[in-house]
Amino acid sequence: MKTYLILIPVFILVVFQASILPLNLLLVLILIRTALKPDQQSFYLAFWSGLFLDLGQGTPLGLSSLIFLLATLLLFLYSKKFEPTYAPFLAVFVFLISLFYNWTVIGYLGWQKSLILAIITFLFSFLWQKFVVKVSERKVRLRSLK
Amino acid sequence: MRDERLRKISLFFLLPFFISLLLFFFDQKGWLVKFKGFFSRPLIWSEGKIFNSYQGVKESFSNLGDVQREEQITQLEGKLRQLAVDQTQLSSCLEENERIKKLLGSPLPPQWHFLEARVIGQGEQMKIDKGQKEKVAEGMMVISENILLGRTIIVEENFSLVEKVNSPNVKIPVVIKKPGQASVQARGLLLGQYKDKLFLDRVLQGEQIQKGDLAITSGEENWLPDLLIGQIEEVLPKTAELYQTARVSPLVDYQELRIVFIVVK
Repeated sequence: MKTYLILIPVFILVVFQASILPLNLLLVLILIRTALKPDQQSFYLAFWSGLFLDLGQGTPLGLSSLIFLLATLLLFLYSKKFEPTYAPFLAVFVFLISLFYNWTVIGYLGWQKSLILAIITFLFSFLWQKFVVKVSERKVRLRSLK
Repeated sequence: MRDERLRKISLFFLLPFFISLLLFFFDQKGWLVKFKGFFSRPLIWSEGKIFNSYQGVKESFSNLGDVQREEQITQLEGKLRQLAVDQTQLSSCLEENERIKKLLGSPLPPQWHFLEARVIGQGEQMKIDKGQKEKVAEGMMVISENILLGRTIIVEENFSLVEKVNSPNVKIPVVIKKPGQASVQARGLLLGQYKDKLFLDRVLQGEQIQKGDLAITSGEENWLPDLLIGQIEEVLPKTAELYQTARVSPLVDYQELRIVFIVVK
């Protein structure tokens, strides 16, 4: 699948976030994508998503990009030594970054929204580990048996 | 090998990072207004469509219930709001009359002009479809009837962001009046709180406030005077502190707003 296709859900999320959605799901999308596949594309995704979001929300251009890029870099460096998809870690990471984002962009912490994002992240990564990873592990085992 | 990879990654990080920094710097200087205006146009258009459809869906869902009862409640709420509005208008007219009688010959307060705007987004801030093109400036009050909704904090070419009065950053000096009365019961500071709540603070213990009293802008700290904000819902139990506090409910549901007015002086 072409990597740039991820910009489609990014655009949709930006439009929704800037009009009716009170949660920063774009941040969750970027961080989950980085945790699952920590590569150079993650930085481009963070950059473009931030720019789109700033254009849509009317926040200073480049501010969201800077925060998203820093968060992606942190997660990327963490993934060099540890497992970034570990659900409790990723949830706490999203919570902290969301607090920082709210504080920088909006001017207050908004911890309730950050908590909701953390719960969503936790559930997603937990289910991912439970089903997707286990299924692929089983496939690998079956292939090696053959 | 590993160093090489890290170097590559840091390049992938540093390039967009510096571009973002540059964009941020240029934006702060105000050099990107035209650029932002051009590129945000399709986003603003889509946001407006999404917001309107969402409001339509919400309305049709609310109509699914007991339609008659719902209508009655809406009508009553509207009447109640209108009464509160009329009462404040009357009381401020009375007060103004008194003032004019006393100050015959002095200039009347400046006329306010209104600019109609459509709400196109409801996030942390309210987004409206009027911007620099329509000569909207930062700090302009946004109202509905004579109820204060907030003030513009970011003005772009095609749209503006309004900081709502219930935003946690907002502090508005207010006077408390009984509905239908011109005299000021108390003075205080209205603080925005999360989730459409307002909090009244800095009311001296000696002053009388009670449920149903109206919180109205006092006109200090660059807020326009005599604009309704909310109604006292509950006076919080008195403590040993110097000030009394109260919970205030806004007079409008910010999520339901579609058309608002910007006060252009």
